[in-house]
Amino acid sequence: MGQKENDVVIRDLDKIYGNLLKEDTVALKGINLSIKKGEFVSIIGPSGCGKSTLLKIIGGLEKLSAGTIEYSDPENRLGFVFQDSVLLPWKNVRENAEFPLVIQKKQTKENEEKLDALLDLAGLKEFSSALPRELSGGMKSRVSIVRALSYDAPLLLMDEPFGALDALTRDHLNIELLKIWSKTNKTIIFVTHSIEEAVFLSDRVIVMATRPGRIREIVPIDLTRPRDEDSRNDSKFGEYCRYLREIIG
Amino acid sequence: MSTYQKHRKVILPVLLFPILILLWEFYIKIGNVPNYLLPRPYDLFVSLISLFTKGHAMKHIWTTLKEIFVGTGIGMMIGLVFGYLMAKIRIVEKMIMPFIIIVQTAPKISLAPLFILWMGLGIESKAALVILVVSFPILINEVSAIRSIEEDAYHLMKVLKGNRWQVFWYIELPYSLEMLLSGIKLALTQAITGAVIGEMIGAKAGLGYLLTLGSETYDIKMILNAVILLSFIGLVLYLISERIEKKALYWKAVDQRVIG
Ligand SMILES: Nc1ncnc2c1ncn2[C@@H]1O[C@H](COP(=O)(O)OP(=O)(O)OP(=O)(O)O)[C@@H](O)[C@H]1O
Ligand SMILES: [Mg+2]
Repeated sequence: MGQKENDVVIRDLDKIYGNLLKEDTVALKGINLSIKKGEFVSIIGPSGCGKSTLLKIIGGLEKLSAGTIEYSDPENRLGFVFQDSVLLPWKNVRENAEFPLVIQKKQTKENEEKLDALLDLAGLKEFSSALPRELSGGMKSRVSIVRALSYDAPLLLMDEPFGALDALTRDHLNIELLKIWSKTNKTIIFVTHSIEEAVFLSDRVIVMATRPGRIREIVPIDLTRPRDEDSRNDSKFGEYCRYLREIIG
Repeated sequence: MSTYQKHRKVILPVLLFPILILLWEFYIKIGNVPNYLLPRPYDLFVSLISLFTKGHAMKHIWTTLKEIFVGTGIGMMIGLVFGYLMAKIRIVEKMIMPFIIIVQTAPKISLAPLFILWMGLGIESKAALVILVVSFPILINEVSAIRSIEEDAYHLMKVLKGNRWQVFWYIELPYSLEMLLSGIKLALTQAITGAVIGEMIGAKAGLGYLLTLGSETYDIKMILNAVILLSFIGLVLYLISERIEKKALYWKAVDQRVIG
């Protein structure tokens, strides 16, 4: 792993939200982080520590106050899975997943076939023509993930995509996500509240602390891949979880 | 579901109708009400027919409808365009909003005499009144429709590298249409009121004109006929707009039969 090229390099990043009435909020302070090509990293930490802010800055959705970010992809292509799905209510499942291809005018036969394969993989094939209001929370997350995968972005940013789901569905979708990841060689940065989820998915877990938002520790997860249900029974899995719980406090 | 339950909405009022007619007849008999205050149902019906055969009813209906449609159409466009500009450009909003609030709180109908002085007795003055009545609520709703689009929808477009035009076409326009379609019923109701009041104050044709004519000539039948035709127009427009709304907003429709 150590030999691989960097995909995203963040140096001395600060983010300060200006505030008219109160003191300014220092959302992020002195973030230094390199993420390798094809790596799966999770960001974990207490509420308000700046996880979403960091992800949005990496995604170019929020300006940074100081520091630099370099991307290996010159076109800076990326996929973003938002916390609450953000599906267009008047488009059905397939149209929502296809949306990036429409915007980028890439509705080639090849891409359309790839999209159908992804919908199939995500178990959404029978629901292609269902509208968002007819979907369960888990199905909505899956649609928004397929949407982020439907076009060729080497970097995938995910902000608590399974946050609203029950543990069973979440475990199941985690396995599906790992399958897709191993097939596509994407770099994934994954924000979560769940320690188990972070350990199960990641090559490295980035633990953040609050006030100001900063990186407390980066924990490499040395569990064999591919991972499945049994990985959770590995004694090392439990140890990692215990260790992370301790440092998060 | 039995046939009764399925058509209950229609059956019940239809049953009530003859009862009302009978009560009406009865009241005139018992109370000795003179013909010029309240005609018998049958006489009224005959006069309604002759309004169509001899009184150019269609011309008056058409005039009023034209004012409603032209006014509503233009009013919606104006409300939509200015609402959108206000929502997107802060300075425009800061400049215009105080005036909007002043005009919005004043009864717009009170401008009717002014419009008739300026634009005459033809359709223009009434259409202008309808435009005024319709465009303000649409404008204000459009501002809030655009403002309430979630930030992440814009973020999604940014991640996908969508351009300004695509943001408008795929995000802002659909949300605007949603607002427009769910406001169309209210807009049409207000449009009818605007057109009729305008006609009552000064016109050469239209159902509101018939109302004024009737009251000036003590023709109670003409007044009642105009009221009947206006109610009918109101009902038809309501049903049409409800259909349009249901069809176009398929993606948010809740099946109301479950409740009713
Ligand atoms: N648009 C904004 N304006 C001002 N302050 C903001 C803004 N967005 C976030 N903040 C502040 O930045 C800090 C970090 O917020 P952020 O949403 O990144 O936290 P988070 O780690 O994602 O929390 P959670 O786990 O609850 O999602 C918080 O103190 C928050 O109040
Ligand atoms: Mg967050």
